[in-house]
Amino acid sequence: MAQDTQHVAEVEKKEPAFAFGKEERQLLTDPLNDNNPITVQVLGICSALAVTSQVYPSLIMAVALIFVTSFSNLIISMLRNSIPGSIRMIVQLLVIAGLVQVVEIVLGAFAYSAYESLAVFIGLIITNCIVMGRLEAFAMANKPWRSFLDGLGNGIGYGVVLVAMAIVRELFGKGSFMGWKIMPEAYIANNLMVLPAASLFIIGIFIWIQRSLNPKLVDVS
Amino acid sequence: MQSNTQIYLYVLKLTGVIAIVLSLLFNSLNPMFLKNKETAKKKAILSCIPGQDMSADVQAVFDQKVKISILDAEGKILFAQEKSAEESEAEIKTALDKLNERGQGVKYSKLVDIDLASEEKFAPEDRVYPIYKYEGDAGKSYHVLAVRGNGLWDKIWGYVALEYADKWQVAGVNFDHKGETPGLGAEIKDNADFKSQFENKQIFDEAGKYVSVQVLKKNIKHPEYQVKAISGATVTCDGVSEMMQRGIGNYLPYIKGLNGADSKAIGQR
Repeated sequence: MAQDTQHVAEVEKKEPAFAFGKEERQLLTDPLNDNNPITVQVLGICSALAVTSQVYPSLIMAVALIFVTSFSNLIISMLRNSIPGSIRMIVQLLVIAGLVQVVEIVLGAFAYSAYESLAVFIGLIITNCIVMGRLEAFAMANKPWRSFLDGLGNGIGYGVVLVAMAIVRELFGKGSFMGWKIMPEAYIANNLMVLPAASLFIIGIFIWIQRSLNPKLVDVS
Repeated sequence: MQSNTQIYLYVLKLTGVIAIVLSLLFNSLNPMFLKNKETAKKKAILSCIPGQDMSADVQAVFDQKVKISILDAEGKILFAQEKSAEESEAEIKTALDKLNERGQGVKYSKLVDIDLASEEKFAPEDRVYPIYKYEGDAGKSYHVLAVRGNGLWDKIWGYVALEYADKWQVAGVNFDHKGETPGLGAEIKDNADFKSQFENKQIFDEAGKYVSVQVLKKNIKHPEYQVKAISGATVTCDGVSEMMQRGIGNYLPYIKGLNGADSKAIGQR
């Protein structure tokens, strides 16, 4: 009997490093709906305004942010016990800035048209609240693999909202999707959709729809 | 609480690692980036020429059909790529000397890659301007000029292809911008209809006075050298108008020097 409890205790301590159980799956699925970075956490709105006038730049931005959030979460989580408390945010910024530089260099070399269409906005990922927000809220207090999954989930949640907004804005604002004309000739493009103001009320409408459909979000402020 | 020295050491180590990783990555990928940038520039220049097959190998077309010349601020040709090797050598040296006078170590590769953005650093009388001469089929030749100006939020620039068909006219244009609003100012780049308006527009009026191609909101009295602006993008289009006026104006001594007759001769070659 004593041996059994000892055995159980040992098994509990040795958690597999890359587990993918229910908790891990939740890290990926929560940010898609219940804890979406844009519509629920209300972070990263600035880039959602800026690049969503067309679908293609939004896709590239989403991929870039997924990369930056997941790997910065991973790296900071690996460093979390050694970072001196007084320079915590500076170290986070260093890591984020380094990763964004990596994205810029790689895009410039392998996907020049994507690089051109995003121009200044790639650099602005450094200021995106989602990246820093997840570092502070999760990576500083959790293990590397789970932090990586959290970053991945939040990046994908952000990407989903971004692309959804861009589809609406490009369809009604330019009559196209990814550059191909979808609307008939007679359609007069709604120029308001192309202005940043439109993204504000589109996000508002998304939040409204999400809250009416998702009972868990009813009392979230 | 860690001591200050430990903190400094930590920061040094972290910055060191990040710096090494970034420099390794940059050094290995930068050549690809520069090549992409060059291809994009050549594509922009070729897109002004009517009838271009943009899917073809841009680099090959450029090497075969485009010759680069450099003009100084007075319109004098500093360097022309089409001459033979011996004539060129002396010319290259003069051109490089003049550029080096401005205080920069300039190599030959820079001569064929004049960039108006970096030219802005110098005083107007010290600037040089590139001309890209395209030899098309049936002896038709186009002169592509580089222009640069100010949009609503930031810089705008572009290329203008001129041809001589009894009088100087625009064969095609290509515009780009740094930060104009998508759907409004950015339409100067994205909207093919706006750009196609410029085709066959003249730059000299009936009396032979230089008027450039003007972009107007309304009251187009002279459709032979005036085009319609994009609604909602007035400031950007005024910027395009000014850019064309001043930009093509920089090349006037050269254009007038070419003289219709010479250009026809070039055209017949």
